[in-house]
Amino acid sequence: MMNWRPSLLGIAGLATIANPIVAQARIYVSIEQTQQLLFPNQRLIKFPIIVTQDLQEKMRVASSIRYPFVGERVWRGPDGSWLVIDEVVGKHEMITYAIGIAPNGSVKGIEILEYVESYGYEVADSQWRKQFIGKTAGDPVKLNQDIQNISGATLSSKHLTDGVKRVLVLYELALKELPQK
Amino acid sequence: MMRCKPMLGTYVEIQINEAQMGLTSRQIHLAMNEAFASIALVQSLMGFHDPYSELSMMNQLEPNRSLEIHPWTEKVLKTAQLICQESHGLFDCGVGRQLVYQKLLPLHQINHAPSDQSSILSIQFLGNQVICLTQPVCLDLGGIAKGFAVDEAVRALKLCGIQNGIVNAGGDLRVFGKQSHTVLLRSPRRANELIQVGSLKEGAMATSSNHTIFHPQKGITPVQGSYSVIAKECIYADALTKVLALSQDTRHPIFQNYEAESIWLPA
Repeated sequence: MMNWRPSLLGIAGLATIANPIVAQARIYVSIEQTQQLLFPNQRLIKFPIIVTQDLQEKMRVASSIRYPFVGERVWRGPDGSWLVIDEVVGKHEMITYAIGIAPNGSVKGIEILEYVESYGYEVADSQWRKQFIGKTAGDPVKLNQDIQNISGATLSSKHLTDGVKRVLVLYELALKELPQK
Repeated sequence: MMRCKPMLGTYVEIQINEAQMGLTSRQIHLAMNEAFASIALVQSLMGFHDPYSELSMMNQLEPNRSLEIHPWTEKVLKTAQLICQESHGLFDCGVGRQLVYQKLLPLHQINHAPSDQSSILSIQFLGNQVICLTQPVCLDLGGIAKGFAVDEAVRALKLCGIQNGIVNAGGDLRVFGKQSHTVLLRSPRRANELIQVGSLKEGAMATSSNHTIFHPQKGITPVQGSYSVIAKECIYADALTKVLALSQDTRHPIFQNYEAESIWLPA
């Protein structure tokens, strides 16, 4: 049986319960869990890559993402599959996501690792971002302690689509041709 | 545990409490995979952006030709048609062309449906998931398919033995299980404010803002604000937000048909 108990004060717009979001962070899965989810039973080996200026520029043109791609979080599977972790930054949000790429170059799957939302700060500000980088679900920061169920006008995933574009350019121009060990 | 994937043009989040009777965490993850797969199927059947979706095939279909569709597409179309009739045309998925004109949807489909004639009511169901059209259509199922996808994800989770959880597709959410969940609404005035609007058990809530809604006949957008509907299933909550936004009537008789509640927060 559905049971809906409205909070009249909230609905009346007497938003005394209003809860300003300064920074809301949701942590979904860790890097290890992501590897298991996208490539179960495969042993991935970390494969950091150096992104040349030329490649960086090509990725920028393809995706219109201006901040540089960091090539540290890249893994390779024994069969030529890849796992790449990247971040996209919007006006109010920063999203860490993983793309699994199959040996034939198709996207095997995408998982969101973290979603950080902020108002009152520019997310793109590097100082602001730094406080979240490297955080994992095991950290004693008070993240995820009170998971909120938010309804509201749909958030667009356009930034993430741009992120996927640049990782696929990375694959085409750099990862694909790397010799198998 | 919580997982999130970019789907349906937004972020789909699934939350499952780790204590599910008789299930290992691996089984819970597999159940979540099934739920995400259901959503992916809805997207591939009913996505406007995909030129090979069943929706795109319908939008290119000439009148009096028949087309076989997936049972899920049929269910969404039938529900959309019913709500169109019950709302006297306020909810009509025939607004695809207007959304293309407003650059909210891509122009990739060749068809000859003028925007003022395209209507979900032009679909005839011939049985066995076969349809035909009385007039060309330019449909966009964006106002209902997301809710349906949430319902199918919940169904998949339950089939895998999950007893309670939450599926939230960018604001269209459904909760199931014995627990009640507090629901917050993003303020239409200030995006950094969350308003606690109530608590929900075994039900769905969907919210629409004005700028992606068009009046099927007048082509206008509703007054700015946040329009939410609570119903048993997310497909109804999702579709009825458009009726609320366009009628500006929180007591529109259609809500009774679905035992739905509505919330309108003006901007």
